[in-house]
Amino acid sequence: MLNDKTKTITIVGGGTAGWMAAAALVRFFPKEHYTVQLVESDSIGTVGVGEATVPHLRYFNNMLGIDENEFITATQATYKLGIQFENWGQIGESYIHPFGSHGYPINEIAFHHYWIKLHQQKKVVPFDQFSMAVVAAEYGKFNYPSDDANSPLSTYTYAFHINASAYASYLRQYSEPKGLLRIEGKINTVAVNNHGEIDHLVLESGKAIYGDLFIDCSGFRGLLIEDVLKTGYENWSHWLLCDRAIAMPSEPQKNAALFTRAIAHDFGWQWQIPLQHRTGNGYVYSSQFISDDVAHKTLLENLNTAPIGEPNLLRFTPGRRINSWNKNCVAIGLASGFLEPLESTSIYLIQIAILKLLEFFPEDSNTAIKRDEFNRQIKSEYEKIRDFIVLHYHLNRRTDSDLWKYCAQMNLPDDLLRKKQLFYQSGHVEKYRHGLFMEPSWLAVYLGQANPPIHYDKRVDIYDNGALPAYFSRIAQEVKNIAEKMPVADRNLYKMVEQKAKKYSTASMSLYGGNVK
Amino acid sequence: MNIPVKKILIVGGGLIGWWAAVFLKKSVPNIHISILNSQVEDTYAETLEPNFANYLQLIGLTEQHIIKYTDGNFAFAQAYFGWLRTGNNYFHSADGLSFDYDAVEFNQWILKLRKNDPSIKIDDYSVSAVAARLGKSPLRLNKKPIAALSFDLGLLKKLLMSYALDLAIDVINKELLAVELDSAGDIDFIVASDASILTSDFYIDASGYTGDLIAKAMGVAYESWSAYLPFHKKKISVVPQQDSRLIPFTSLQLTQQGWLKSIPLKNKIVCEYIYDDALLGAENGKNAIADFFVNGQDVNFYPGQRQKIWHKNCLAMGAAAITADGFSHSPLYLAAVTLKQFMAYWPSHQQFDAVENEFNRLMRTEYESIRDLHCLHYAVINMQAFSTNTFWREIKLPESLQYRLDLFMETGRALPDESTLLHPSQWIHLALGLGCWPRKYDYIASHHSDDIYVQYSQSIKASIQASIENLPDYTDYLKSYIS
Repeated sequence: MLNDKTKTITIVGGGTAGWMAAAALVRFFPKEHYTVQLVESDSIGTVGVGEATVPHLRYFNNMLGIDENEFITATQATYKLGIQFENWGQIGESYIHPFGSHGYPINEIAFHHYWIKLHQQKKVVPFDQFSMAVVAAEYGKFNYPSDDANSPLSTYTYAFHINASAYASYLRQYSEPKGLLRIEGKINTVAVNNHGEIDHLVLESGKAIYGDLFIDCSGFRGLLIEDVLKTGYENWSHWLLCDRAIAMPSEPQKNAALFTRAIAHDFGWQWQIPLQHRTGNGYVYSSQFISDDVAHKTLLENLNTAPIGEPNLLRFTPGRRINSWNKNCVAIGLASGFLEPLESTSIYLIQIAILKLLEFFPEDSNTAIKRDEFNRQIKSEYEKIRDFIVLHYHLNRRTDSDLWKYCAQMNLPDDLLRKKQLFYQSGHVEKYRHGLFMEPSWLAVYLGQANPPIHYDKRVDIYDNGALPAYFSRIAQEVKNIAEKMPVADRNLYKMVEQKAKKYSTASMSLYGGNVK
Repeated sequence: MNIPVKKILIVGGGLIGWWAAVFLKKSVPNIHISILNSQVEDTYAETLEPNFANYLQLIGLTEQHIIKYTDGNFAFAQAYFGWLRTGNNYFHSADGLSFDYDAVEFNQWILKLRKNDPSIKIDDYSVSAVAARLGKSPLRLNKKPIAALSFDLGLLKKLLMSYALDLAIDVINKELLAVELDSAGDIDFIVASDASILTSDFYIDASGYTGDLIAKAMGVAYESWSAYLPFHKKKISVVPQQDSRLIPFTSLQLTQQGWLKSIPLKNKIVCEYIYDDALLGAENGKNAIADFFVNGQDVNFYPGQRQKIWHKNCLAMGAAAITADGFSHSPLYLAAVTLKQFMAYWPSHQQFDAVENEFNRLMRTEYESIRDLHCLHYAVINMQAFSTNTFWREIKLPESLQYRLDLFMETGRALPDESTLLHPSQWIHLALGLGCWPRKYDYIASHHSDDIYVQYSQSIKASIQASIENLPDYTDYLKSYIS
């Protein structure tokens, strides 16, 4: 039950995380009962470097009542159908991990089991060619997915590449008229009460800022959750060796690609994120193996448009805050953990933490079970994404550097090892219902960059009457035909978006669109 | 050798064994299926979960077949009598109750309304539940709800056996004499009662609780749930359905010593009394229920699960794999789910631990979630603290259920778990229906005043009333359904 007195929620930090949290809170918390305030300083930069996202962000915007076309224009966004991984298996190889599924079950047996068998006989095209999203992305064509479950256009969905700083500004414009109180200033000290909870912040101006609940969106540092509350951090750098990134914008591409590129180099990987007005680039690398200068040079050598800004160096420790919610403080964004942007999960992790906080919002003092459940679910999200990212590194077949050799031989987290063994012994992907990456994603990586398994669902052999190769080439041709008929994703498309002349399709919390649960 | 298993021998001629035989053969026609039609004790009737039609379809059966040929009857709800402190009964249906109001979930605004109006009953919002109470058939609605199906076990088995002939299933009408393992611990062959030897690539143990293959021969232990589900005796009576009106719901009546389940079929009613031996014994002679069952059949059962249901070249199904208390998810339903999942992990001659482990892990998750749902039925009795009988208070809750309940009581939310057999909304509706009302609701529910929710609530009830009025009487409906 609500008390008569209003409660104050204080957000610390105005990056993507801070403003997303602010927007969601003012959207759902009535002004009569809650004060939502955000403390930020114009003199502290944010990490926002142009972000690749996953489709869930559309759901978040939809929840806030934000028009998608307006959002695209405000954030100079481009459509995204997946991520292209280059040089991850072997140098020269490439595959796309799409926001969609591949093929469809035959005789109640998942599509990929047949593909594995045909691949062994060298009678089938690459796995990703059975994904509508992949083929459309390769053609540079885009169409909204269909809600009709019988349409081949229902087998995928889409996300965006966005300018994250512009998104934060956009959300500020959204939040302030709804009652968000923005406080400019740097935090000098933090006062703790005798229960060890955050009591108030003291700004450099001397002003005290109180709150019933504090949301720590201060970035890597964790100003409240770590500096003050000493929550502790689980370090994952034995699985994820990269600990630095150097970012740098360059000129836009002529026609922005419909996918993020993740290009593996000797000691890390390079991102390329096409926006309407520029291209975001960066090199994620391990400082154990190369210096910042060498990394900078590698990045410059591999830009495909001219640089238009200064390099920005980021240092990080891959891992997770042991409890994202500790006492009266909830950490969201980089303050709650860091995973490299290989699978574009940073904004997703912010979003999921916000949604969970809304679900388990502490109304009174009896919050232990809500906090435990929040922390349990957030931990599970981070660990599942971690395992999926580790898989990319582990399943490389490169022998050209010590980084790749280490990753191919490293000891895996237990859950991941079990998943991998199951896949190689049976062709089955371990099932789970809660988490971001489901079967289509695991298959994209397993079959895109590693040696495919020898084993597959044994019923395939029972059903196989020799007609499969012809059937499969027909399916691949069909996918091509449909993709070819889609409209080209060029500048005209974004002009139409600017004029709000596009009717976009329904948003959902799925990475793959309507057909995959 | 990594070639698929093509020859499967099923041991046990109960309903589950026959289901496995027909289901496997229908799903994968070019395999060889044989069944050792040994005697297995079956009960009399079961009620299948509402989505069972999907499974029936896979073997070419429809709901209409079940109604027609197995003395079948629809159940639009399961009625709970005596389970609530208020003295109310509760009709639990499979209706989704997806009446969200402006991003406020149904169960959240209901919680808010109930703060000022304790008379709120959740089954008033279910068209199936209301129809069941009134003896009407909601299956005539445009948006047809899904219904559970009750059937006579013996008749369904007969129906399946009649299929076996056409399907070229090899039926061996003998008993099991012995099981021989090879040096690796796999089943090498079995010996039938006439000393003939039967071999196969793979074996399904449908021999019942004793687990003649998986337990007696292979030594896989059974994990008892008796701390949580303490009953292990029931009496069963079958009485003719004498009323001219058919009953479109199953019911569960709580008593001092246990509970009474009744499954109405078209021509008979199957009654099961699940009771505590000691309590009933003490009051024997002056107990009307005991009198009713005086000529009933006594059955022992042992709630629990097999530690591994797939072990080497053997899969356990039915009571050899799991037994629960009979509140929901009937034995046939669980067996069918198990078999379908197993088929996705089709075994080959070369055995892989990871595959076996993954299958067992998945099934354990499902089974334990069903167990917890069953335990919830006892937990609510204690939470409402209305039974004077200390017996109920001695029943323990699994830790996983305790956590679920604590979370539910604080948030009105179901724990997102990995089970696929139970939709979270079903869990919530059952808990609310059985009188387990959380103390809190979402702050989002407080966006709107009670007046708005009251109006919305009245409009839902009014539209249910309006649609019910035009529905046919269930007995008449069923007559035309089967004619």
